[in-house]
Amino acid sequence: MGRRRRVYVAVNIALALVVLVAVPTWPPHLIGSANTTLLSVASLAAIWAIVAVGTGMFVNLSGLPTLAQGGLWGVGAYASGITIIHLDIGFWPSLLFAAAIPALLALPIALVALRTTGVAFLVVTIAFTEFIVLLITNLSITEGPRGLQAAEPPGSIGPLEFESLSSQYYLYLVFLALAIALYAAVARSRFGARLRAIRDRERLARSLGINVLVHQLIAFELSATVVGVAGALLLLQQQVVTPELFGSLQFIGIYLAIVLGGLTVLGGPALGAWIVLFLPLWIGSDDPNMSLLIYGVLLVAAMLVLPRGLLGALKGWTAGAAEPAPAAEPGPGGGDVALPPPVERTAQPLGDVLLEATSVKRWFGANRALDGIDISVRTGEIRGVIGPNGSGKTTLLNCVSGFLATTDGAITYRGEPLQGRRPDSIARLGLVRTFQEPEAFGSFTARESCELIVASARSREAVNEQLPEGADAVLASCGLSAAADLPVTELSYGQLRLLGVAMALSCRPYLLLLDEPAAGLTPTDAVALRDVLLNARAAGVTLVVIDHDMSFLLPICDSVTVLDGGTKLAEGEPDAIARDPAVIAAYLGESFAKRRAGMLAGEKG
Amino acid sequence: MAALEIVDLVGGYTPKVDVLHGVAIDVHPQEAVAILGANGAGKSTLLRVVSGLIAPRQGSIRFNGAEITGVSPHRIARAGLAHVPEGRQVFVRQTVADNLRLGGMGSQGQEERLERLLDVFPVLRDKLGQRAGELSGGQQQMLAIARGLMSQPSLLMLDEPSLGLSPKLVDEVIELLARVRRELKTAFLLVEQNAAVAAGVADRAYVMRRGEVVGEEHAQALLGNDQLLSAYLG
Repeated sequence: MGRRRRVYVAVNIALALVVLVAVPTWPPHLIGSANTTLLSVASLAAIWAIVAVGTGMFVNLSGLPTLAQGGLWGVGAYASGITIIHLDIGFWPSLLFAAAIPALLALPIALVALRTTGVAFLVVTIAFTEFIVLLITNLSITEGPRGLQAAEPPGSIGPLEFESLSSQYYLYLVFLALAIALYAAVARSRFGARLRAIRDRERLARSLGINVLVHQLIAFELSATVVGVAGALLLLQQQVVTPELFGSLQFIGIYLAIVLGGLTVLGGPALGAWIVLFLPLWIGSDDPNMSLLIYGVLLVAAMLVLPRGLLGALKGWTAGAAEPAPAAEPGPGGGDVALPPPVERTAQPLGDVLLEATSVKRWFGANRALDGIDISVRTGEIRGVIGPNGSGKTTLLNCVSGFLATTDGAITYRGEPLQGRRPDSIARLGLVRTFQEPEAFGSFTARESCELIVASARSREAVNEQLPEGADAVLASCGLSAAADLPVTELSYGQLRLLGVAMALSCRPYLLLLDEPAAGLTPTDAVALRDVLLNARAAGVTLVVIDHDMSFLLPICDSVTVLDGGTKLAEGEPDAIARDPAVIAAYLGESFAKRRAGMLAGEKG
Repeated sequence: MAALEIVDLVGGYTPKVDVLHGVAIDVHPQEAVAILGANGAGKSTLLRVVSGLIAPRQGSIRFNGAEITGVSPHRIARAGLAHVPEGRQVFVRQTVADNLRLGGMGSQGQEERLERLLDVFPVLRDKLGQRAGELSGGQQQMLAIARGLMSQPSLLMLDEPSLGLSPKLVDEVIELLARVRRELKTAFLLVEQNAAVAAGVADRAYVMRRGEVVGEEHAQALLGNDQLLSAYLG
């Protein structure tokens, strides 16, 4: 963030604070309505803002649309009220219950909902909220549809008293500030960065050893706690809460606030809450149907005009001259940056068996994608895997890396069976894979992508100490130093491919599985990639490489495995494989054989 | 008159960032032309602009003498300019036959056309009733090409037909495209990274780099000329 921008943001925050703090001193009927006071609307807006921040935090960082927070908000309100009434405790102790009970209830629902994504996630969370509303409507302890009354002002803390409405309003503002501070801390933490990485590209995050469920679960729990506390505040402010306040339809108002203010901006949801609550009053309507109509129109207009929300748009404008960053130079590292000296491929004594797959089968219905594959890779080896399209190469890679369960057979890595381990757990053992299409975390720069993984790789079960540590060292080893600060969306295709390898190397793996790393690379990029792979091998990484580009693959391999129709067609040294009539017939083709013969003749002549 | 005439084409996906910086190429009737270039050179963007999926910011595209700049994609397709996009995009849940018929929507004599194409693509005849998703990668690529031909285009644009195919299948695609040219007299505009495919199919090749055409060669001259290619592609 530039200095000017910092000053601008500080001025805005100060202005907002002055306006918010001054609310109780304003004439109570400024908003021109007889039965609502400015202070009560501002108080409600502050509470809504806390719910919007708590919900927006989860939605923004996880990318998952949740309506469960509506029900959890209600659980918080009722937990506070019921403990005040039945345990005869004050407001402050009841806050603990308002935080803990929603968090407890969030656990099972999150475990179910987080197995789904998109619309299914939304539906599960709606069902939860409706279930909660149904429950509190029908239980006797919640006083049913009449609502729960609890008019217990918070006891004073030292010299601070909370008897007056304006002091309670300040209390809401303090909790709002705490909620925003929590959001900021989470968003800026490594945990938050990993959450964003999961949101950007879940399977890539898994492949690099990030436990998706644990991260999303913690974020959901934090969010549940925040909205739960907001529930207790709502009861304090309204003195009575009824079940329908927390229904999923009502909660759409919170979403309106989030979208209107700006989901991706820290203060966006809070600003939106203020607008959503005040606008109908300014327009001068107490008619709930009218305000619903206004909500609807606002939501549609906001999506059309301000897709990033009010604050998001402001940020966009003031970030000023959002000059398009200079286009990335094509080629690795921006062309003029020297790669580390290439390592010549030397015969290297091979170590023990590192990876062993025994009669691995994977069937998809009647399609036997893998029908009994044996493969054994030794430490220090570069193993090529080739075969016709649909022969099972990627399926084998998916089975080894834990992305697919095997139908039958055993896979062991460093002598331990991999069965039942999830992809992220396998990655933490130092077995890392890349994907056929280059994948990257869309909201990160190249350096941030590697830093994210380097930081989480430190606590791994198995780390290859020979590989460079630190994001900059890894990026340099892949010739990406000059592109380190570019957003990944601005990298050239070749750079993206190299970044995929750099991210995998950031895990400091022992075994690297690469799926068509050279596909679509220019000759120069392919040479750069070859050097990266040979350097990795020199640092003790064992490689299994799938590729269709024989001029890239054959020269770097110690041995090649050929798959065909889910079984192993051949295995051996690259030269022997290139000559094998069965391999030529099934895969390489006659023209390759001719070109190869021509090349050999040329060498002799 | 050229079948396709592109003059000074400028544009990209967003108004602020141009991917193409003044591209000019032409394709004559029944000619096969390749566009070579690294990823990010703007080759696929060019095809998308020509088929109307992206509006150019500046420049002119004429197809068989008629200006098609700014015309909607379905009209361009009906005028006889077909586009087979990158990455074997077939409707995986539909049968091979239905995939092919979709390609011929709205044109006369569909069934005869289908028969004729199945003679050129015998692999597909055996699989007509199967879902396209059950085909291998190479077969899906064949299906995508055949579907593009169902509308009887006078010009077929192919985006990286060899990408991700095994060496043997690459040979088969080359042979197939040569046969399509011979028997159906279709002109080709072919985007490729694989010089062997370009040389095996095309008469001429343009080389693109960073949104500009940096060279034009007889396609045969590129084959086996690694120095020339390296100079162009980097």
